[in-house]
Amino acid sequence: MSTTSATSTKQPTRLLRLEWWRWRMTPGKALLLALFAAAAVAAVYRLFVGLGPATGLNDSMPWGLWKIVDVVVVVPMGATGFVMAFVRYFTPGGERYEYINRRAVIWAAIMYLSMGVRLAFDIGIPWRIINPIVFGGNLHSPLFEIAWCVFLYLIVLFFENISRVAEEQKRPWVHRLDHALHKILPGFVLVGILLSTMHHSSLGTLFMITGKRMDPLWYHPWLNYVFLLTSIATGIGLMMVIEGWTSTYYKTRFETGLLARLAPWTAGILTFVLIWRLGAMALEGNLGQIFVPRVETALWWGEILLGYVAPIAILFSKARFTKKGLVTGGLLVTLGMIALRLNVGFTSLMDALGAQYTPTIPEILFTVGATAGTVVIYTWFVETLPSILGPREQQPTEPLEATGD
Amino acid sequence: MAYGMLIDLSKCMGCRGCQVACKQWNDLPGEQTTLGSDFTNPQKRSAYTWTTIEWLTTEVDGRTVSTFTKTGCLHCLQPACESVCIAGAIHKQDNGAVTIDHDKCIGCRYCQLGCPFGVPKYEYDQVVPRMQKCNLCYSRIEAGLEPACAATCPNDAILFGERDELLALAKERIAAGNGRYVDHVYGEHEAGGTSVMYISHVPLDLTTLNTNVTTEAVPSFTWKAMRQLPALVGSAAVLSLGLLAYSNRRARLEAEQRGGGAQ
Repeated sequence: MSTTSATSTKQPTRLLRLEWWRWRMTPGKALLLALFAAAAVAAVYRLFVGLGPATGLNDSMPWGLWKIVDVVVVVPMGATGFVMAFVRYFTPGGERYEYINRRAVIWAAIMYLSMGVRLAFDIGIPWRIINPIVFGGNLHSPLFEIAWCVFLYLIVLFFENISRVAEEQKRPWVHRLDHALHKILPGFVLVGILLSTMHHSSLGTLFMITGKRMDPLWYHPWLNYVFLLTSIATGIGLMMVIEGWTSTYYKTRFETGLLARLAPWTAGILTFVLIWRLGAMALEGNLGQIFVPRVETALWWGEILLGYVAPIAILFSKARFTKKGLVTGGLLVTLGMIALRLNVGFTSLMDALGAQYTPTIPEILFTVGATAGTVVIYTWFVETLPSILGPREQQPTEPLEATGD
Repeated sequence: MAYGMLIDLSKCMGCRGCQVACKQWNDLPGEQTTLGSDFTNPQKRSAYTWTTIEWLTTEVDGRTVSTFTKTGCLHCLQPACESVCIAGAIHKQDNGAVTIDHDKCIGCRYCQLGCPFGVPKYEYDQVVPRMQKCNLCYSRIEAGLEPACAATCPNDAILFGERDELLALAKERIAAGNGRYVDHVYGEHEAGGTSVMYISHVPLDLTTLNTNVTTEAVPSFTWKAMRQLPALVGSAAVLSLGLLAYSNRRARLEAEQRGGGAQ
């Protein structure tokens, strides 16, 4: 599978010089790949039988797992890209975040691409996924705004990532081109940030159309900004998790100091969101709802305690100077973001819609498998383009050995 | 001319002629149905059943009250479905009908989430599905006819005409009824006003009309956020570029302090 050193002498005749199979199979990755394959089977099944038989969707529940998880959760999982690029290119001392940013933008690219592919299977007529871009649509629709932002942001992500491939090339003109790209990259990054502030907030706007049909525990007059702010918090929080797992798996350095520097910002954003959410509930006169014994109330408390209170406490405390503290805090931030999306998409709306919805096995397999697939693809990129991990001179000459299974 | 319908629930006798006419005109297939505790049949509207008469039997002061409610799309003046449609497939036509262009629809099903009345229904059982709902017999109106349900109603419970005139008629009937009607034209303000309106002789909560619905135009719920996007993007740009200027300046000062001078 892996190329031998003999091929390197023939490289100049190839248009793209890349060692495609530095990637190594391990038992852990094999398991993820198996799940990925299962998702592919579920996807093909859905294509042949249609949405009704393949999923639990019905007229009472138009948006299920494939929309709420595969789009509304997966997009903010890709918020690492714009948040870390912002830190890298626009904040003082940002250049220290170069290698964290490389992992952030490749992860974001995988997340956004994965979202686009998954969404194609969720919509009723998959081959029309590109129609809103090609034929235009409705400027009034938040979904249309998201479609365009995601499409344009994918282009930005391409330019943010292409240098990893360029660095592998031998030809001088490629390097000259890459050098020129670096000069204008902050421009791309800025566009990426602007597109991101738009579509991360619009993902919240999506649900605002339901108005006060939404459960009072999650109703918020400016849900769009709640979604945007929690996306930013996740961009940093999830990065701590990715850094933690990557450094353990590939035995590379975990940048405790750099991430600890960002931790209070995440905690601060979450504190602001928590106060704003409670304040908005109080203004609506719904604060009493948090003590009404219902299943929804338990889910709300779970979200608030685990997704806000706990990470705020960890990331403001001295625990943020340890890898364990950062990874735990970051994981809780991410889970809190996921809980908010799931609660808004399912818990807060199912009663209002009178929804009957149980996800089917293919539906769950697709979502789980596609998510597993994104992790495998991440490892493929990291191992194929080692400059994602750090300066080449600091790396072993041997192909990366995945060790953390 | 913006047409609409006025449904006088006091005149409806529950014959379901409208249901049958709707199926016939729109060439909709029959469905396997079951009976519930009431005589609503089919139990729910679907992609193949755009209108139903919903029976609701309630006990009021020891008296059994049975009501019939003609359901279906209310053809909002400012439809939520139109505003959220990603493909621009849904349109409020000049003649009052809210129609779906199947060639444009990609099947995102956002209209189902947006509609406060739960009207759009999807062909989930099809491999290449379409979003379906009452289109106010758009083609019949264009040909100078009434919608099929209104044309077939034997007791004139479904009146078709210009919305303004129907609204005036509704108020006239309520005033002339001396308490026979509930003093409320459903659809005058619901969801910001709808083209299909109801008057009722029984309190509305004895019918299956959604009495919890907002009186604001639903598209405004998302528009209030969408219209702030330019300001949001502008602030993000100012913040980013401001911070960039600060970072560059700080880097330059630090370099000077180290004695190296400007790089």
